Amino acid sequence: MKYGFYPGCSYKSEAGYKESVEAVCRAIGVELRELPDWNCCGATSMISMDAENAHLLTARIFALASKYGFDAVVTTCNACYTALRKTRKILKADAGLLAVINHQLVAEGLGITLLPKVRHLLEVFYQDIDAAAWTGKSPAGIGDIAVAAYYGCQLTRPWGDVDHPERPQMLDEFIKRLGYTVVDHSARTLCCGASHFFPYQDQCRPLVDKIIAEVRRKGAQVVTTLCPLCQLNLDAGQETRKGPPMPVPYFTQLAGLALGLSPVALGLDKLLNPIDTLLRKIR
Amino acid sequence: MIYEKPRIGVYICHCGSNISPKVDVEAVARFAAGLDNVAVSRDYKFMCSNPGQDFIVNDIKQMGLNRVVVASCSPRMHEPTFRKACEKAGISPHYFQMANIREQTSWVTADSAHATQKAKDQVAAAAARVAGHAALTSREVAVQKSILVIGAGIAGIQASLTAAEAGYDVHLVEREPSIGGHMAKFDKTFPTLDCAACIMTPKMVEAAQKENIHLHTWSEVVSVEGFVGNYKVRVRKKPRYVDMEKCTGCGVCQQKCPVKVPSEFDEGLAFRKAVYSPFPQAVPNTPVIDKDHCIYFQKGKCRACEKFCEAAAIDFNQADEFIDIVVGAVIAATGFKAFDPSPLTAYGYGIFPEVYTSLEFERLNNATGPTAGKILMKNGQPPRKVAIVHCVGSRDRHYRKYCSRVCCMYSMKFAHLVREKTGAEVWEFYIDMRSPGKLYEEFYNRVQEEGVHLVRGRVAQITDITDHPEDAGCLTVVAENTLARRVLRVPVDMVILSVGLEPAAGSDAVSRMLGIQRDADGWYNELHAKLAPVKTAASGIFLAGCCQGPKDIPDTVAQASAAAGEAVSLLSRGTVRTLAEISYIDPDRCSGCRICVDMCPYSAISFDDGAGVAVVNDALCQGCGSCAAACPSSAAGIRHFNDGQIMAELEALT
Amino acid sequence: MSAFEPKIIAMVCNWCTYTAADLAGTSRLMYPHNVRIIRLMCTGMLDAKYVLKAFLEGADGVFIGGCHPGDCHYINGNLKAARRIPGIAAILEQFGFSSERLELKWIGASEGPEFQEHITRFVETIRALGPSQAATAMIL
Ligand SMILES: Cc1cc2nc3c(=O)[nH]c(=O)nc-3n(C[C@H](O)[C@H](O)[C@H](O)COP(=O)(O)OP(=O)(O)OC[C@H]3O[C@@H](n4cnc5c(N)ncnc54)[C@H](O)[C@@H]3O)c2cc1C
Ligand code: FES
Repeated sequence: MKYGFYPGCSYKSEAGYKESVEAVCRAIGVELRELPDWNCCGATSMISMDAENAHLLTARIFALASKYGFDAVVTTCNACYTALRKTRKILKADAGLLAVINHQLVAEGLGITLLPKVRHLLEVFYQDIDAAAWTGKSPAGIGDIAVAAYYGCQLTRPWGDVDHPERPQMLDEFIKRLGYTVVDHSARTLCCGASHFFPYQDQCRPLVDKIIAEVRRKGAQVVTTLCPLCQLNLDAGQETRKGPPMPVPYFTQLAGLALGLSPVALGLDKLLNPIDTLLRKIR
Repeated sequence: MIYEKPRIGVYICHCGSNISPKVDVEAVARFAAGLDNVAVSRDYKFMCSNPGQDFIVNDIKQMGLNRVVVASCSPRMHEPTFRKACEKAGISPHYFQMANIREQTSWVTADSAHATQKAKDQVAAAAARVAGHAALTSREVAVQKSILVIGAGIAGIQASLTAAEAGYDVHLVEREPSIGGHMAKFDKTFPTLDCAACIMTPKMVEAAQKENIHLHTWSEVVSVEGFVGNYKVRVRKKPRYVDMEKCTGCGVCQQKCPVKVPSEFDEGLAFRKAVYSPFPQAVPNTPVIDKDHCIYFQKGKCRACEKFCEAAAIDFNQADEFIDIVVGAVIAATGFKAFDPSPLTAYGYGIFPEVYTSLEFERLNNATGPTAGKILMKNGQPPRKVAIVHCVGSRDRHYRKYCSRVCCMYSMKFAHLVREKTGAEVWEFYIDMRSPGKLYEEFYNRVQEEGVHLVRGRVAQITDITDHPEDAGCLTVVAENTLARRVLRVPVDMVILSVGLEPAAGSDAVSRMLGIQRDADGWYNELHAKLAPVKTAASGIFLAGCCQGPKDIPDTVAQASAAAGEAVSLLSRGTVRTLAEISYIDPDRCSGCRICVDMCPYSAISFDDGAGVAVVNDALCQGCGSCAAACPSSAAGIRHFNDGQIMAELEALT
Repeated sequence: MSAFEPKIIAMVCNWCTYTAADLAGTSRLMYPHNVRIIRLMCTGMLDAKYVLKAFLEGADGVFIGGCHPGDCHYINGNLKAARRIPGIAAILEQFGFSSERLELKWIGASEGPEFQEHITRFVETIRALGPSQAATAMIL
């Protein structure tokens, strides 16, 4: 299966996201075709400062998809996902704006001929890939690892169409499919502070603490994420004094382990809070 | 019919000084005298007075008038008066027409000349119209002096008792194994806090014992046909698998049955058996076997109940039984169902065990409930802190936009009961406190004085993530105190969701069966919001209780008594008069296209396959004219509003 | 030359607009004298031929008043009327007359002031349109 892929700015620099996405896709037969010459989507912050140019930025990504013939764009980041979907919704409803933007894109020889669907890689893994592809290969011991699925606040909100806005299930179901033990908890969609972490550390640290404390209380050994910013905040922002460090692997890293791939190939050594003790459970 | 040349008398009223002098009444009278078929034309100060009416009566008798026009006030005011005068003088009351020259002319027209001209036109139109009037007759049809009541909550029971007291036969149909409805689940009722069972049980027993109340429990109405005075009703009695004649209600079968099923009556907080009576005071107290859970029905083995039943009342061979009855009137009393808060995941119902719905709490608080009336958490301990969340599902555009009316009051009832029974701290979160009703505001004041924390603010979230380690195991209620402009995070042990009321499941089917309308929220529509609150647009069908909209027990009982009163008043004469101004389809003109059959909102037109024409059922037709306007061959017409009459008016007015 | 005084026929529902007209009277709300009201039991009985007849007989405008949607005494007669109006308007247009000469409004029983307002405005509209030639021009 081939997909147009929009990696977004934080994809390559973070704790093994790129490595694990690539390794798992290769193993499972998913081909992510990176859109050549892609640009920043403006994330969720730009749209509140300068909506017009934010739409232009995002629209350029859609135009690239048109150019290379993709009817869907896959992202691996919640902020990209939201920004892309927001612009898509606005352009879909406002033919006038779409015309203005297309006019601006002409200079580059680009234009949106088809508004591509925006999808998170989790949707692809969970919905498009046959469930059987994930099972069967899991090494023994996987079931002994208790995982809490953390969705972040942007995947399901405000839309509520991919999954329930407050108590989403898709990541839990996917992790379960991989063979892990999933713990039910109440922090799935709590905010981690997102991009406010650096300017407002004092305010954001308690948010991370709350999430980590909750998943720990419910018996989780790791908390898995599907967004580079969430991963960074939860991993780097843990107030270690409050308990043993909690590893924060990407869902793709857990998927790779379940497929029997090597931890190093999945970039698991890059996690700040080490996952090594848990890896020993896998035989 | 012998053609009678119309001889019209025209009477112009001065109405004191209300019509004259704005309208030059003498000029109008002179003008009228020159109109076709007018035999006499007069003006008088007060036509509606006795001497005024006497003019009409005498002229009819002495001058042989056969049509009358009065130009005065609105027909909505005095048409009945003048029709009676015509009748008194020996002509058909329908040989009368009124010109509304007061409300629609003298009072609304600035210029006198214009008003006089308008009045002349109106009189001319009335005279032209009345010439074509026909003497209409309506029929008296005998009615069945019996009443069907659907639903046996407090509304249905009260309505049945009232009608039965008046001597009518009542068929009370309830789909559950016992009568009682929601009220039977309560322990205490606001605002007086009297014991629900103490006031309810005697009524249930009385309903069962009254000779002229025929109780059909574990039954459903499957069809209603016919019209006011004569409804043919078919009731399906579901098999109980227990012989009601033989059963002594000893309860041994329920002890011996090995199957446990969550009890509907206890809102799933306790178990019942596969053979069960929903609650100890059930009426009738004959149990039913729940086929879906009975081992014998599912696997062909067991029969424990049968083995131990000394009365040999168990009968696995029972089948559906259909009962046909004929009734004169129907009272719908299907009540409500409580809103299911599961979709509001932010409130954690179904996720956190200590989040209860209000109905669950009613059972928890009930002396015959799962905890014998002790307010306990699932771990058996009493709560130390309880939150009550108002308006769950109500006043919420995502769910039910209306106010459910009883939740504020029952929430305060809960607050009082929790304080009284456990001494726990109580936090109530409300949007607006609504306590209109006799002794209701007083009850609110009392609860305030009992030290309940009342917070004005809608709850945002209920979560098991706590803010402080010492609150571990608690639920945190997050809400803004909108008066103090502060966000509160209150750790509590137990949360009660005061869920709203919505129409009972299946009330859409009932409304279709009865031919009554439901409003946008699904409640049955009354005929008039203020002046006919228990009647419906279908004559002979009445409403009682929450099926018409959320209400408390006092209002339910009042409405139920009213519904019974209306039904009895309709039937007490023994006959009903059909409307006279209804549709008529000329069989010679009808082309059999059947457009009218689909147009009729009352299903009053049927198609006679033999004759190939559409036929109007006099008893069902309400005279709206949908058929007449749609009929392509002008075969359908409304008596007293037929084409000829309206065309005559149009010609005279233009 | 005196100003053109249009002839208006109003066919209104007994349960709502007729009652509103009575209420306008009781409240002494003045409105143009040009209106002649015909009482129907429901707008659902409004036959297209009544409207055409009114125009053929020399009316300059026809006003229909019924219950608000959902309030019809006979469940949905008003909606049937609402569906019929565009068809009638189309006939008027075919003969070269402005369909503005035919208007349907929902006026509830308690809306005396609304009745006054709608009628006043309608009379002005028709006055502006000038006399209808329908009586002579519509050959059916
Ligand atoms: C939690 C809670 C607490 C309350 N506390 C109070 C209080 O303290 N004081 C007070 O005044 N009010 C209180 N109320 C309101 C009170 O419950 C209602 O006013 C009352 O129950 C209405 O009675 P009803 O007969 O109209 O409806 P219901 O009690 O709902 O009875 C309807 C009956 O009809 C039956 N039925 C439904 N459909 C059919 C069908 N198609 N065929 C046959 N049978 C059918 C049902 O099984 C049921 O038995 C409370 C309500 C709630 C939700
Ligand atoms: S009853 Fe008024 S429009 Fe039908």
